[in-house]
Amino acid sequence: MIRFGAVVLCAAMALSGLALGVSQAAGVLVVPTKAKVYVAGREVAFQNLGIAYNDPVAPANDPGVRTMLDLVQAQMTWQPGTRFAVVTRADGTLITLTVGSAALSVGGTSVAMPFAPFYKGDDLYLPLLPLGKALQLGVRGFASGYVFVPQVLAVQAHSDGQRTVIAMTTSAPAAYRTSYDSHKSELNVIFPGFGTDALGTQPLSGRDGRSIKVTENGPPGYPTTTVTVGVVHGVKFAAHRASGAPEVEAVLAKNESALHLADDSHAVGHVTRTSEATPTPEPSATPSSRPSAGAAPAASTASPVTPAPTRAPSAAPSSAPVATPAAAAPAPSGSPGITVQPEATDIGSPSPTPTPIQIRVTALSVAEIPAGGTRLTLTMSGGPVNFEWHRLDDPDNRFWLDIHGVTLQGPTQTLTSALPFVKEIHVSQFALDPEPVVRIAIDPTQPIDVNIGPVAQSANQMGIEIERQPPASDAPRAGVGTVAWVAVATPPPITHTATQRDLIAIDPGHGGNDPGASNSGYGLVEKELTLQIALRLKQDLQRMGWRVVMTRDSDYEVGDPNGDDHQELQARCDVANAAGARVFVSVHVNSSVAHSLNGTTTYYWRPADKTFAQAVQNSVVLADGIADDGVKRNDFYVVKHTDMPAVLVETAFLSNSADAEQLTRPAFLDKLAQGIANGIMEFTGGPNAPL
Amino acid sequence: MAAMLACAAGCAKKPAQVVQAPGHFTVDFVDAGTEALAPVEYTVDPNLRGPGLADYAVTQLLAGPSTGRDAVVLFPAGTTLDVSLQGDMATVDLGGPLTKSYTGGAEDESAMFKSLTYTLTNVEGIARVQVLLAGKKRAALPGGHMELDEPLTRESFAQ
Ligand SMILES: [Zn+2]
Repeated sequence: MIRFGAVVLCAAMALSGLALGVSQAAGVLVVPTKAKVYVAGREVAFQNLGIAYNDPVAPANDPGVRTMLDLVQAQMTWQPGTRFAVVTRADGTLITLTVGSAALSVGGTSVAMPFAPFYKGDDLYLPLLPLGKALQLGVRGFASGYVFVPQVLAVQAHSDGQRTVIAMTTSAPAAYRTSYDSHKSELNVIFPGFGTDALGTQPLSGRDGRSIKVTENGPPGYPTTTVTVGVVHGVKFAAHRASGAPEVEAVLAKNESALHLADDSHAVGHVTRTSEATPTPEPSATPSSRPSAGAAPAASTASPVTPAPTRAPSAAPSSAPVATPAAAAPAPSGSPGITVQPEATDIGSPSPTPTPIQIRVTALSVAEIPAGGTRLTLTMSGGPVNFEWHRLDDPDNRFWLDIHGVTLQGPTQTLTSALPFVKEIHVSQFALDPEPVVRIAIDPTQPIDVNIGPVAQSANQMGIEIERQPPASDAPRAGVGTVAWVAVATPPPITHTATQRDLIAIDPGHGGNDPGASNSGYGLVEKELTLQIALRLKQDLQRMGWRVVMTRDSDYEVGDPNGDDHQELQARCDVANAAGARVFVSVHVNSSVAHSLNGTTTYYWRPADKTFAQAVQNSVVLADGIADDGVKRNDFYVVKHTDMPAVLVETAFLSNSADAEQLTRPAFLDKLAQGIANGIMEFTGGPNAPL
Repeated sequence: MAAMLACAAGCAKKPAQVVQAPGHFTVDFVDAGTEALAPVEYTVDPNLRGPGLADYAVTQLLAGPSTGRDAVVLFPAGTTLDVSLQGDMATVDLGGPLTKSYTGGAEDESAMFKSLTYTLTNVEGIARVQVLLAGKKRAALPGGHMELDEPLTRESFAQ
């Protein structure tokens, strides 16, 4: 209804001129909201987030809009008072929003919006959901806010005689990581925080690979998309970020030299299997003679550099007590390319080696940081870890870092950011005996500054940030330090909050494009009835002193309306889990082809929830006066994937004439709501009762 | 009251592996009046077993019972069920309108998958049924209630 109305209003404005349009728009009611907005897994703070026509809006110059665009590397051009705001997407596509036009232009193609951008005072308000979609983000609305998820948009492969290139286009530059499963002979390119519509498996032609499989896991608000490439035995591979467009490429080739593309700017990194079939690690690794540009020079490490400072240049390594620094002895000579153990299949799975190694590097990733540098992130299986670093003076400028007592899970890797001033970052198992050492060698084109420390809000990640500024002329050339993790990781945005004693989650079943069941003879539609009952229930509970979180409070899908419907039910669970509700109640209206079936049923799944189900069932049938079909255990999604006691109430059968007759009466809906509220009180003891 | 009695009767059947007499196979339809399971016994080629028997079972399930039975097929017209067996699990690739949207009640949905699960677990050695929607593992039918991303067993359904 709203959508249609807005379009009609827009047409009227076009006919009667802009003056009318502006005055109409000036009357748009913007209700401030405290809804949370997450973009690419981060909460974005807005100064003036509001709701207009049921959708979130914010001024073009709101810091939240700027942050939102920054996170996907888009930029906006807008001058106050002008009628256009132009957003340049990371892939260079222009998005134009025009005052008074309920359509935005994406690369010249017009895309309808529910309503037009409008001025309120000096502020140009933009509808955020259409903007997110134009930015190619998956848009997911929750009762408590909105989540914008970057997407792996397409995965395409092409082969020539030399190599197979698999191009993975993303809606925002991705901090991907790679892993290799030597048992399955599969290369995984993992995009944390990315969703995808490119799900499925496609065969791979050519001689290098077998197939490509795209999967998505994790909560809809913070999914992880994995592109799994089946690699033919003996084929080498590389993964790197393509320059320009937000795209990651995986390259497969029999010949390692063919991994590097002709266009040198593209060959910004690769992952190379150094071991073909060695089943166990070589305790005394044989240094290979394979030259490696990224490796720290063996000759220079042989002559130790001053080990005086205990910190990396301008580093904030750790607030934890610094353990005995690893001796800044001459690093073992020898170049990398050492044979390493085949990688374990799953990160975090037990190491296949019997050697009692305590700490492993389980994942690596490279991402640009806002200040214009690059951060290499190492995920560790434990800590603290001691490190030792060295750098060479200009013009050599190489920097290397040895992390002691640590093994690298997986092959030697050469990674690089798209930044021009870093040629390569080479990560290798530098030594295994007498103690394992992981070496990170950075090969820049100019003097760099490096910060080493724990990654904020992470309990197990070590960050190495490379910045463009040259270090001071008297800065030390070597040092040692320790990284420890004191803080426990802050949970990702869509996750599980500690239980709130006085908070109830209500899930009105169905909504938006999912009507649920219906009975046209009585004008009954399940999604409308569930909302009417749920809104009554909310009021009843609030009167009793409860706080309430609703999975929806109007007619919409809780998950991404344009996304896969199969995420809809998880999105509802996410709302309750993220809020830390004490109990969860999903409200439905039943239907059956057997029209004689009637009455109320309360469903549960976990045996422990049967008491809750029985309490709700008892008080609902007491209130509604229709047949008592009892409590039943059934495999319903929402009562399985919520963290708190959870039930699904099938209040009545809209397919039964007697029940349907009742469902047309507001007083009956009141009774259903009151019955559920009483059941919640009965089970919990009330909002002040201890957990 | 009818509903309660029906449930008591329908639920009395213990979730257990059924041993079919050779040459006989039971397809569990749904009773049109009560939504309880309505088992119908078929005589089959005694050599028909494993995947062939599973295929036969879902074909009968979609075709519906012979006339004279007050039983219904809850799968809508146009539904396809493509079944394969591995170990104790039958994988059923469901195609047709249900993969786009489900607009029935939870009761019907539950009965529909219950009849599918009970029928396929009548095949000797099969205890679990993994439903795929158009070839993909999905959390639920669009608009549905039941969890489908894990295999269904007889224990999945209202007891
Ligand atoms: Zn429902």
